[in-house]
Amino acid sequence: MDKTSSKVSGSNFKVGDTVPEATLLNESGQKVTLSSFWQQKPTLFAFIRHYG
Amino acid sequence: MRQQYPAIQSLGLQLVAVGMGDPTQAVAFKRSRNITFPLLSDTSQRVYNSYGLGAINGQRELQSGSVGAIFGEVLKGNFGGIPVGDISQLGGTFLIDQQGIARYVHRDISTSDYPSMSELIGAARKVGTSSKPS
Repeated sequence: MDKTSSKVSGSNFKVGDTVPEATLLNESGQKVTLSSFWQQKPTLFAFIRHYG
Repeated sequence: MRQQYPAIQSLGLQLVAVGMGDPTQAVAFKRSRNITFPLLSDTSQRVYNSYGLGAINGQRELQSGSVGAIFGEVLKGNFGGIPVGDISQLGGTFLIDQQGIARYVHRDISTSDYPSMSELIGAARKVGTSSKPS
């Protein structure tokens, strides 16, 4: 697949688009990239609402 | 999603949650709800935004009936705890394959909007067959 094509990682990506990369903190406070998850195994990301 | 976790795992996927609390809050929340999958921290909501997740829209809430539902819960005393994170931030569910391609996308449009499990499972099954381990 041509990575320079128009399937860029805009915030309104849809099925078939490349997703944006992102870095978050894990529970130990370490930086982790979202790609580190999906590269090892297809991953379901559930963005949750406020908790409590 | 927690109830669906075993089914999700059996489809060959991993489940990762993203929340707005910091790592300490995430650990406490996981413990309180017996959550075993990772819960990452996006305190600035930067990633929520980059994934196109929006804010609560009052009109959509009224239309979906969730305002009445929330009042009902408050009256029953089911609103324990202090909210962690922006209470107007809506959530979403994304299935991403090993090439970084979105295979299922659901962005909640209101607080009572949920992803369709049947669509999600359908997408997960297709990912499972196309990304065979080498």
